[in-house]
Amino acid sequence: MYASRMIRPVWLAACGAAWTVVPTTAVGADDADVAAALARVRAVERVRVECIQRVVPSVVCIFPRGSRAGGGSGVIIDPQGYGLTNFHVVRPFAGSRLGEGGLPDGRRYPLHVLGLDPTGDVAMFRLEADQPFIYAPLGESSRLRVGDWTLAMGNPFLLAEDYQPTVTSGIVSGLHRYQKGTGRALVYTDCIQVDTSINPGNSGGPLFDLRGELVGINGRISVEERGRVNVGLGYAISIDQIRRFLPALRAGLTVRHGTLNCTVRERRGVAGEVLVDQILADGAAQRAGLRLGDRIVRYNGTPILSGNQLLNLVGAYPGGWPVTVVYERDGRQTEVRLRLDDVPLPEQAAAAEAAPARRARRNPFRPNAAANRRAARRALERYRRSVGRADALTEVVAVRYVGQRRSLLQPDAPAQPLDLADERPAAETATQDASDAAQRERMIRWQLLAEGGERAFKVVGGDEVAGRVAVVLEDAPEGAPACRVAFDDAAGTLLQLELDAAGPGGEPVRFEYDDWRRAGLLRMPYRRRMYAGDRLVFEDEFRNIRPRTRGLP
Amino acid sequence: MKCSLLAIKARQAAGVFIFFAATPFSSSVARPGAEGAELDRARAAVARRALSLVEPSIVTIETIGGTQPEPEQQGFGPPTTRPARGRGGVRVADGPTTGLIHSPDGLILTSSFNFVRDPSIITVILTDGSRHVARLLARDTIRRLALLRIDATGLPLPAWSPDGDMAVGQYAVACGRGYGGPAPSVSVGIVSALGRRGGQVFQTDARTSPVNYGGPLIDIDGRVLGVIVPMAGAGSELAGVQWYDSGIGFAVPRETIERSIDRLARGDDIHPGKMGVLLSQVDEPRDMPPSAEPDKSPRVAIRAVATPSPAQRAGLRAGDVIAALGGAPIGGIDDLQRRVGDLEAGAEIVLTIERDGRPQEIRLTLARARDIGPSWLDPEQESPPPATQPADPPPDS
Amino acid sequence: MRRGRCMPLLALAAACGLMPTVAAGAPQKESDVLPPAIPNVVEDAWRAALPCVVKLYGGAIGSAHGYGTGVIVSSAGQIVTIDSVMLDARNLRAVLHDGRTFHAEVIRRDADRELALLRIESHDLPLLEPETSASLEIADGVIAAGNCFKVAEGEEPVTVMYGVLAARTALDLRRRAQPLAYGGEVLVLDAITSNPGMAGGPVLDLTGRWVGIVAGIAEAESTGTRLNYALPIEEVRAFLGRGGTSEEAAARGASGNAPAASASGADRGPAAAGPRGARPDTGLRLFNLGYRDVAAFVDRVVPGSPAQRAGIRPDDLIIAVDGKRVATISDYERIAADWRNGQTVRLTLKRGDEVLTVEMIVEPPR
Repeated sequence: MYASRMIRPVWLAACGAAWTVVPTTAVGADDADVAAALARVRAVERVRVECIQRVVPSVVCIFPRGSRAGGGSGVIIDPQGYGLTNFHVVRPFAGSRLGEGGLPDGRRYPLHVLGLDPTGDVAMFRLEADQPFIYAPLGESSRLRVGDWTLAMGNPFLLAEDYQPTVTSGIVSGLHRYQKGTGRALVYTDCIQVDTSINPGNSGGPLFDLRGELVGINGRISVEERGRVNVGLGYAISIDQIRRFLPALRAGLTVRHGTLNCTVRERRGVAGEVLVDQILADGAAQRAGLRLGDRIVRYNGTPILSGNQLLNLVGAYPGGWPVTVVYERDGRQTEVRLRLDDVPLPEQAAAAEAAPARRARRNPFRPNAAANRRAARRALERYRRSVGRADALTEVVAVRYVGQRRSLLQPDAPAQPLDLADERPAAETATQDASDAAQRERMIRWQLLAEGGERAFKVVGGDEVAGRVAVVLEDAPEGAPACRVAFDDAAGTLLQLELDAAGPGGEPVRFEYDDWRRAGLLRMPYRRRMYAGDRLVFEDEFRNIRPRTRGLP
Repeated sequence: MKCSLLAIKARQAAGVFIFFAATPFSSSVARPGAEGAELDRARAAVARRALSLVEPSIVTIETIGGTQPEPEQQGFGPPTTRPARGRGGVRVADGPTTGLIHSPDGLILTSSFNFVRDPSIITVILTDGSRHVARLLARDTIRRLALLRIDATGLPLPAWSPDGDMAVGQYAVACGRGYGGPAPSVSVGIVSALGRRGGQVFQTDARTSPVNYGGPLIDIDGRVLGVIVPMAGAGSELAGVQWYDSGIGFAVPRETIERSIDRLARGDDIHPGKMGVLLSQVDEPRDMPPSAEPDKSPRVAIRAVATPSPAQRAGLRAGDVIAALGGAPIGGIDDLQRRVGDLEAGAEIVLTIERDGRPQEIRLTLARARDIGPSWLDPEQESPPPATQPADPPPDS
Repeated sequence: MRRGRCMPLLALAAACGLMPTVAAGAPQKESDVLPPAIPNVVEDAWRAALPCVVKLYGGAIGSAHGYGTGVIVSSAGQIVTIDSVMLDARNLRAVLHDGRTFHAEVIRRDADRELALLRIESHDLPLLEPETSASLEIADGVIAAGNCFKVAEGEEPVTVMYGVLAARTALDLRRRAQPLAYGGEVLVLDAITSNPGMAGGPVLDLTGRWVGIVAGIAEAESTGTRLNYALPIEEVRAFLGRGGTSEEAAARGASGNAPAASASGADRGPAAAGPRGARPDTGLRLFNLGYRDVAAFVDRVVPGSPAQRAGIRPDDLIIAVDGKRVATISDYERIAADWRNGQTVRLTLKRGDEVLTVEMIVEPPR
């Protein structure tokens, strides 16, 4: 603990040697300027020391099971023990999906390997214990600037005999860096470069800002003739990139990165113009309407000045992710929204994933049913908690919505007043019996609030909904159209509910929820929109939402 | 299907500076950078003041004579020196080194690294410019410390930080005299970890290297946190030097020095204890990648037992697998060597071994390398081990 | 995180004029407006200098890296960098901070300082003014910018490292066992600048003042390790013809024949010694069996010689001359070669267990 204790100077005589041990205050400041400078520097020091004390308990020394050798580092990001590391750290024991994690409390915990990202070199794990873990809050790497202070923590050179990690300090040396991988594996796009000392063994460990928020996962260093030691250049995968993959990784899925499926070149003789050079037939870019020669102006709001920059940005997104691209053709700019295609997995991973089912037991690239169930349960529990306390949820028997509906089928008509009474259905009512999309939506929302919903729902991955990273669960019963729900991965709230083949022309119907606020004992969305396909059908805005509990009017 | 994007040299007439566009300054807020420069000025002033408080106690050591040390001590018997390149690609230079005054009457603490060449003449230069002939009293090769004696009185002592006051994250400034010149060099870092190497040293990310081995690592009040030493790996006194600049540095705190200072002052060298075995590791590890080792824990087995030796006296045999030391499982040859290497000759240890599939506990008392061997018990072993080894540290001897 | 731990430091920090820091643990969603807990000290200086830093690409020959960094010193396109074989390439290119690429030509080189002046066809370029390193003190923070490991391409910004000034002294340097000619003072940096591609990059203090130029990869003789160092900016000014601004230097340079490489600031070559052949004999005879690398023991002292008058005796060991360590006979001879008549030198001797210093006046033998 950092403490400036008042102790008397201690004089120890031993063969004429004298130790002069002095407390801080005995070394007095000579004049006001020095005193002021000392006070400021002490304050900075204390910020750093306390920041480290807060976050160190979340740093993991990762080992293969029963071993004290090898492995790397990791960091816990959730009280249930979910954590992040590099794919290359867990790969050696990914087959058994079981390793061990040592924490600074001195204990070793079983470590379960969950989802893998072999392209981006990330993996998620879960430590097992019967109490909640101290975890690191996630920061936002987009707010980092060159020169910002950072702390790296981990187990370089296996020095942490007692699992107390090594902590090093440095600055952000560069942002949006690109580090080539081996083939399609371990590519670092849009990564953070630091001069914080990172060495072999730090891999998979956290990079923190001085607020104690996780901004990156350390994974690579530049090395040359001096052997494999730090020479001042370390690279961390940004937390903003990892955040998009969290829902899938938590569910034990093997994730893919995204691609536009077109190549670009820079226009000769003109500054900062990036043009579509080759375009894959029926790829994401072509489906969105891009053609050869189009100039890519913006990607998700960022102006594009070079091919490298675009490569960097796209590489940080998962396959299937929705992005917006602004392109220019013949002087006119068009904005399109598209979903990225998948980048194929690195060969080894792809082969493993395609391996026959009987070898699934030791194949970490095959779906992990236990992890998925746990992740689904977690998403649903977090959703329920975001709506209200467990006892409140069981007591609620009906909800009354008062507000107005604007129907887009009649855009000129004024909004219609709404007064809906939504009674909780009896437990036996199957959702499929519901006659229309609205009824089904009602049923599913009640179902989600009840315990045990995870039996039907599986996590299928992540998505971006209303600018938030969402975890998507799907209920796909045999012979019936699927239903998908998307929850805010951080806050837990329900963002979207989608019913396949529920629209008049067989298109999916989608409900979006917004403006979650207090409604009596619960928190409910005060705005709701319904889409059929891409068409907005109606928009509800509620003035008043009143849940009714058992025994009360 | 191709997914690569081609990057071709661009010609841009006018760039849009993404960086500037993304981080506009608000005119009503003080520019963060200006405040930062001012804060760093305060830090620099504090560091200089701290250095000035301890500087009178930091001495320069100059040596004359001696030879380059042998790469790695092989086998047993008295150490030999012959001209050769130092370990890890670091040529041991003969420039000035650093020491710290330990007593007013002339005890000087420093690192044993500074004497690997076994120089014939050692002089110490104090900050007043006076030169003194120095005698090397003794070396603690476990903690890489050494103690010199010069003939002087009234030498200024440094202030030391109290035990237990150190915190991970506090400033740590490494001071050294290895560049010569009137002022010490400094490297500013933080305390990275406490209680390393069996609790004997602590770790810093200040840059430690031959320029400051033997010198003090100080806090912002100018108090000594520890004496800087190379301390990585196992075995040789040079181990760890190749990590200079890596941000992995070590210093010996007062509590550790206290344990051996009396013996050193009496002239007694402190040596690491050895068992007298050659080891082999099943599932030979590759050299330290950031990823890792196979899914099984590497098994360390005895390949040969020296005679006479503690291992022989304790009844160890070739083929025995060493599973644990002092109850704690072994994580490979490096781990075992490091942990044994941190113990002194004369220390008693308890090994958990596996013989014929059954575990046993064996007690033995470590001995000095020169008191072990030179013969080997195992009849398969006709001759001593080969003189050249791969770059990894040799089996524990 | 254990939420709700409050930070007692807040009041102290505010009192010390620091921006308020964030309470422990709880992620603040309004952290869009919260400043970092410890201020960024680098940004100002980096922003100011970044437009003036260029990435250089030339020929990779042998183990020499074919890329480096340079600094624009004139709006007309002159760039200072570190001299190396890379500059010999025919397709030497400079890439500006905005990604524009130009063919570069070497105008002039200084072998001793290992500096080179390049020119690109451009104008209205932002330039960095070589100022002074006089106010830079040990432990002051500096930043070094450069394209280490060519991580940055095109318009991507070069790498920035932060460290303090570790030391400021003249050092014997070598590269691959060859001693370097430069014998002047260097700025030893506490940042790992000794990396491929970094040479030629600027070292700036935190107000953005240009104080040094990152030098090539080299080792210090005294430590046997790689040295992270920069040439003081005064050497760049001298190279550019100092006195006036770099613009005038550029005009001089561009106008015609390149001036010969100027002598380094701190001469230590034989030119400083007296006329050759008139080497004074001080009467000192060292015990010398023909090996140059044994310690410098005195064998005998010629009666009536300057050495005898100085009090030097046989069996004395010379361990320093004028404070500079003498480990071997060749060290002594190298130093003595520079002596001129009338000069007074201080010899530090080890006599038994004593160390003493004597002064000797160098005179011709009587």
